[in-house]
Amino acid sequence: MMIAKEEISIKQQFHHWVLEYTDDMYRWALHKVSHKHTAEDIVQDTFLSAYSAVTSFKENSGPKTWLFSILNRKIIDHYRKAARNIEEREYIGNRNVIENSNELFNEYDGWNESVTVDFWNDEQELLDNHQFLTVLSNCISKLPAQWETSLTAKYLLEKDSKSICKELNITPSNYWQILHRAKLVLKKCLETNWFNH
Amino acid sequence: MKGIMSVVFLTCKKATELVEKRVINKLSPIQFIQLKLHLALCDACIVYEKFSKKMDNILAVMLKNKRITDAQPNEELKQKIKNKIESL
Repeated sequence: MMIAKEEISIKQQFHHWVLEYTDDMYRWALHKVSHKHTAEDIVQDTFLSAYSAVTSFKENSGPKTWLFSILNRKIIDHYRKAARNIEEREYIGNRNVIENSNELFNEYDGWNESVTVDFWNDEQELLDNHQFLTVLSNCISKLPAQWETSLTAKYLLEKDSKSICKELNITPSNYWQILHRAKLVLKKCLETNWFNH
Repeated sequence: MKGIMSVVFLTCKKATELVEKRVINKLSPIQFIQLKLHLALCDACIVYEKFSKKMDNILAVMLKNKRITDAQPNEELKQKIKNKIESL
C-alpha cells in the first residue's frame, strides 16, 4: 500500500516537472540536434530514464540540474549513434545520391549539361515565395541524413566549421566534400523542380 | 605537357569543390590561383559559385525562421510524456 502511494506521488512529481521543464529541455535539445522530432524523442526519453532512475535523484542538486544532466547524456548518445551509422549510410543507403551527384559531370569531370543561365538573381523574391521554399525543403529532405545535417548545421548551430566537424565527427575535408556534393544535388533538384516547372 | 596542363587547368568538378573548400578552409596559394584561372574561363562554374553563395544566404534565413517556429512551447510533447509516465 505504501509503495503504491509513493508511486502515485512520484508520478505527480514528474507531471509537475514535465510541465515545468519540458520547454527548456526541448529548446536545448533542438539547439543541439537541430531536428524537431529527434529533439522531442530525446526529451521524452530523458523523462522516461529519469523516472526509472528516480532513486539517483538527490534533492540538493535540484530537479532541473538532474534532468539536464540526463538530457546531455542522451544528446551525446545520439551523436555517438549517428557517428557509428555514417559510414554504413554513406555506402549503402546513399549510393544513388552519390551517383546522381557524379552524373552532373562527364568522364573528364566537366559539366555534363552546362547550365550557364543564372537563375539566382533575386534572392529576396525566392525567400518570400512559399512555393519555392517548399520545393527547396523537399530537395533538402531527399538528401542523405548526414549530408542534410552537414548542410544545415552551420545555420542551426551557429558555430564555426571546427566545432561543427567535431560535433559531426568528420574531418574538415569531409565537411567541404559533403557540402559540395549536397549543393550539387540541390542545384540539380531545383533546376528540375523549380526553374523548369 | 599533359602534367602541366592538369596543374594549370582544373576540371569543373575539382573547381567547384574548391569553391566549397574556400569557405571552410583556406586554399593553398596554388589552389587559389588555379581556381581564379578556372573561374575566369568557365561560365558554368561561375553559375555554381553564385548558386552556392545564394544558397548559403537563403538557407540561413529559411532555417532561422524554421528554428523559431520549431522552438515554440510544445504542449503536445508535454501531454505525450505525461501519458507515457502515467502508463508506466
